[in-house]
Amino acid sequence: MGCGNSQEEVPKASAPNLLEKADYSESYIRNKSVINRKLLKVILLGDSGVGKSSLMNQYVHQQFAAEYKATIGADFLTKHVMIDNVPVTMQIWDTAGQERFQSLGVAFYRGADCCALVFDINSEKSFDSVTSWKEAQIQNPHDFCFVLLGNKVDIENQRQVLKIQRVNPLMMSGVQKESSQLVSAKNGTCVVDAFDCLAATTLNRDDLVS
Amino acid sequence: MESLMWASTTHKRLVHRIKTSSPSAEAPAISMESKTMRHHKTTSLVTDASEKKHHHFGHRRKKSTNDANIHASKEGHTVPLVKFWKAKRGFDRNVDVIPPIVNETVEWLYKYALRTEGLFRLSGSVVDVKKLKKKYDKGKSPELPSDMDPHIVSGLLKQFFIEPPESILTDELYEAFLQSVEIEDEQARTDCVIEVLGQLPPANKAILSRLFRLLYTIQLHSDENKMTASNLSICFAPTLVRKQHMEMLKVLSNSEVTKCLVQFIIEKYHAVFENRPRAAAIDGDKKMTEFKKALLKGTVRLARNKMKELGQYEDIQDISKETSMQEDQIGMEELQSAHEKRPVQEIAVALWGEDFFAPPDATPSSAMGQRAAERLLATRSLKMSPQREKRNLLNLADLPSKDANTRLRRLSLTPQMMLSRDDIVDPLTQVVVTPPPAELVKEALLADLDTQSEELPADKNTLSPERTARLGHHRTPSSETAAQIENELATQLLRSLERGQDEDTGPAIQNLAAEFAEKVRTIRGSKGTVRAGSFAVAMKLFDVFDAHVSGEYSMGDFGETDETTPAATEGDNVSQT
Repeated sequence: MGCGNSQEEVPKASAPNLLEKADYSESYIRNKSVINRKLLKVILLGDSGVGKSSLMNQYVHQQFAAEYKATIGADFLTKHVMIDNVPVTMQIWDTAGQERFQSLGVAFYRGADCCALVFDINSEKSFDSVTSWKEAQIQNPHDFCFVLLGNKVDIENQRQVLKIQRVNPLMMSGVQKESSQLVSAKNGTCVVDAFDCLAATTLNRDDLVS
Repeated sequence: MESLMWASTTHKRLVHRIKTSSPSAEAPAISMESKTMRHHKTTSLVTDASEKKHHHFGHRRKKSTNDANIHASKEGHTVPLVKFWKAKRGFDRNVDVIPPIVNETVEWLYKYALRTEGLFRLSGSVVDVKKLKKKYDKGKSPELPSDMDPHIVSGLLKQFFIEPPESILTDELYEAFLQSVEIEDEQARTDCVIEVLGQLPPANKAILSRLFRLLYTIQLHSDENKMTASNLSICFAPTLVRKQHMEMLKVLSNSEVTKCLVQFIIEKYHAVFENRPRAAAIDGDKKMTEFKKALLKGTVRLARNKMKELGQYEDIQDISKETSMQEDQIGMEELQSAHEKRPVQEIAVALWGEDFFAPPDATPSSAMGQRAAERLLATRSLKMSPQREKRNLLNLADLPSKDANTRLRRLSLTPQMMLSRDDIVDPLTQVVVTPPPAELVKEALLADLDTQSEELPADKNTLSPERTARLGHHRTPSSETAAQIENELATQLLRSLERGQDEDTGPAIQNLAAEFAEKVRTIRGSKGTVRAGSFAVAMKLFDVFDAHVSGEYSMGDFGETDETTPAATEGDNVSQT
């Protein structure tokens, strides 16, 4: 009776709180039954230096490191979240933006559900190359959910790239326009929002497909 | 016991084979130096040498003189990038020059980009990089204006290292490179890195030296450009330290080590590139043992592949058998003996030439040119072993073995090849041959003529029945073919003279040709008949020019006419008198 039951009790007891998103502590979600949990593999792609690692760190650890450091190979972090009342484990893959990895990617991106294309809003070039990242990495673009993230919104005064809303119609097909956002890994603007939104969109899309 | 045998005898044999039995093996060494001799050439052919040299450099694209002893381009045109690639593999190990794309981008970056933030980390417009790359592919040197986006230029340089399937550090030495950084003691580590770098083909090492010198300079400015040695190494490691057909997981798990290697070389640039290789001592250290094993294996593999390229398949088979059986059993004892006998160094010397062991930035000297010439002459007088004569190689299978071998020897690097003024890509070994100074060529050519006329039989009686049988192929060139050949030869000579005329060396070539013709005439006159030797030399000249002009060899024709049978001498004689 003792242990097993008490563990079952925890979610039930806190069930009324489920309506309020803010009440999900990560430990709570982690303790929730593994069976229901969905795994979402998200990969971050984009040119070197646009802030992929910073975004991931800001989202998972709420930290921003000011040091200028390139990513070695690839790295991933996980975060447990609740999306539309479903416990989800976000597995976020941070990739090196080095060109060399463009050719190594295929095996690496296998099984990814969502692909966040990151660019620097102050660099038109990084925006232009989003398309090539998308095409180079993904063999079968229709299997993925694409989201655009424009980083470094904190340095707005130097902005080179047009507001994403205005650019959207020009962008390639397949990108989830409504989930694409302007974010800042430095001060955390919209980062959590963007990732949650991305997860929700991916889950909805998966439901529709299946 | 067996493994001991492997360690000692294999190396001895390997070195011996590369050194003695293959004239082609000398080719890279010679051609490597021939570019240094190009200066020599430009200077030796005019009266006022210093003035000429000055003039010459005035027209060159600006080059940093401190480490540009290997020049890539001639004035006016550069070598198409495609010439530096071995089909479907990587950087051609027999190439002896730094490609212009490397020289020019490195120079530009030195000048304008040392303070650019995120240099080599951020990427430039892919479209622009591709556009410029295409120009280099076609052998053009595009203008790189000073206000260009530095990331485009850095991208261009990076592209050079990314594109080929095989890394510039070669697949064979990949393990050795990885093992070298694992060593904990810093001095020993430096020695090991130097040692393994020492195994690389000369051009690869020269290119790396230029690249790392640039990276070293960039990280000195890291307070401005934010590119510390660590950052630079992250950006370059996946490009430089890699091996073909590796699993993604392995690549990722190795990425930390490869980063350390690149960072180490950047930080220790001077120690690594400006010292002569010296074998690190083998102590009881396990990692050192691992490194020595990897190095030994890599070196043997490199040598084996080199011989494969040279077409010496039988040798390779022997060695493969010996090594594949035993290379996993190398023990401490063997390593120790290998260390003492320095087979690794010997193989490298045999493969790439002694001068390779000079620091890459050493200034070219005329002594080097002299040595190259001597080596050239020595190569010419090498005799083929009877065993090798039996060999049929590539599409030479249809030729009598003697012809096949003569051709092989000839293709490797003949004086006649050097007579022509352009770089020649040897169709067999893919060696890019750069012409050495005309005077040295002349010497070699005349010496060649002498040996040819002495070697080959002048008339019917000296041709033994055995030899006739072995030649197997005695189709007699009629007097008509002989005359044709003479005509062709004259035409080809004329053409080459025309080519030479618009440049200063034209008269020199003319003189050379005249002298050559005189020599031929003397031989003919003195004996009253056409000597087989002169005929063979004429054929050779024709052959080489033909190949050079049309870009292809017609093997069949050669086989029919090269060996002069008595009838041919008579026929030729008739046509002359």
